[in-house]
Amino acid sequence: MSKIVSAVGLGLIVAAGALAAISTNYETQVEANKKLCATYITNAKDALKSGDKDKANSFLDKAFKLDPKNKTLFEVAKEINGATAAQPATGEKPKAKKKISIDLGC
Amino acid sequence: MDNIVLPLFTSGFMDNHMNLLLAIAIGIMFGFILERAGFATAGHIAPIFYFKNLMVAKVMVSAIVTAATLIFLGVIFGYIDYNNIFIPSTYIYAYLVGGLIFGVGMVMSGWCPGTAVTGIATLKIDAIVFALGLFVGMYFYFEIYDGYEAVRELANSHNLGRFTINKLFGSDDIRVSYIVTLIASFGLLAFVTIIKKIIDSKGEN
Amino acid sequence: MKQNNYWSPVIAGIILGIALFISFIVAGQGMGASGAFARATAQIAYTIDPDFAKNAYAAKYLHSGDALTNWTAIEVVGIFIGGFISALLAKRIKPEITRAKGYSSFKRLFFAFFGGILVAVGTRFARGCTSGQALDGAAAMSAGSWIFMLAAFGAGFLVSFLFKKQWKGVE
Repeated sequence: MSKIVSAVGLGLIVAAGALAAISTNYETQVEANKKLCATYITNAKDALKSGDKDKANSFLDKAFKLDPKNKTLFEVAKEINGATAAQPATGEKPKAKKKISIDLGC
Repeated sequence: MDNIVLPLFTSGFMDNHMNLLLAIAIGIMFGFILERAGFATAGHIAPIFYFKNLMVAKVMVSAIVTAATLIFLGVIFGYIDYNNIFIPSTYIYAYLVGGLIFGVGMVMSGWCPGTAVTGIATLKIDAIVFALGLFVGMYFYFEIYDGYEAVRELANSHNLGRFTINKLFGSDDIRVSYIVTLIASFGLLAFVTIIKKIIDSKGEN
Repeated sequence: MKQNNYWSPVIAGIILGIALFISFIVAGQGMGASGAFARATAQIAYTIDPDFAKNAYAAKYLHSGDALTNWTAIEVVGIFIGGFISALLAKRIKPEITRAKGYSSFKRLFFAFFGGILVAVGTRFARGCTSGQALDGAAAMSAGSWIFMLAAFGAGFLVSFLFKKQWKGVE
């Protein structure tokens, strides 16, 4: 009995994934990233409103990784850091705190 | 849900204190499942190396396939920021050597760190002794890492960074990573199943 | 695998996979274990000798905050609790040394100990263990994790004949 449940369960999971893989294309991923980028920007604006510049920049960093060409991103970056920090022409990243990355794994 | 990006903590939607608090809950979940699955005893772990009991392979493959599918769906439908899913950097030779050493230790002792913790919780003396060995081994590594350039070299050379499967195929498409994960996982399961059938038919098990 | 009410493997794996997914979407990382032992060892060594903070490897841990702020270290405490609860409910808590009938306890414990040393060294090179590197890494679709996984199981299989007597007939 449990063998049947197991096979069906795993089968359904794989089917869902395979279906998604087949019915989407690379564009889907790009669009998903753009949507996430927009969400980050919204949150960055909210953070700016509450006065938390660090948090706002942190959101913009993440947004930049997903959609570097997003124009709203640079506008918000200017709002946060002033006109000198963001230079859309050269695609300059908004300023952000440096994180010490410790590659120790799990 | 609309204004949030997953993962919660690494995308900046949850503070560190909450994350550490939830760490215990997540650990409890993990430990409970491990014990329920039967991994609080070396008697269910060592046999995979003899193709005698395929439990380890079945559980691992099912878990990998399930989690990878859920992550894949989350990414492709715009809920998860894949950049914030932590993957340790791939150090080719370190992983290879580490894996070899680890494998010998695992068949010798019948434990791995995670399962050993549940073993300790259930009073398996060999798990407790294994854990003591872990502490000694960690300390040993600290000393040789600090003391020998060659060790540091081996540990830190050939860093491929966050080496996702799609990169291996020169692609940016996460679907490549997902499909290959499915193939590799089921391939592994099929492999151990076939070997077990061969060994069983020869009457050696 | 007869007795007891263990979950069947694939179903347990699916549940584990869901738990893994939850861990990833909450904390951004999967459930690990070896890192906690490394962190604890660094802390113990440092407590005994503060000069240990100069150790090239331990420094990475000691300078990133106290042991209590290491996610994996805290999560491992949870693993202990969770394992304990499950075993308690199933009445599976019992002091014992898992080994083949008649096999020397001393030899078994020696192998458990020495195996632990090897496993620890392996996890430091590989940045994880079967949980943190194999399970989590493969779920997150990392290529490196497969290198580790295949090397580990390959090596284990190749030397398994050396320890056959230890495991004969064990359940």
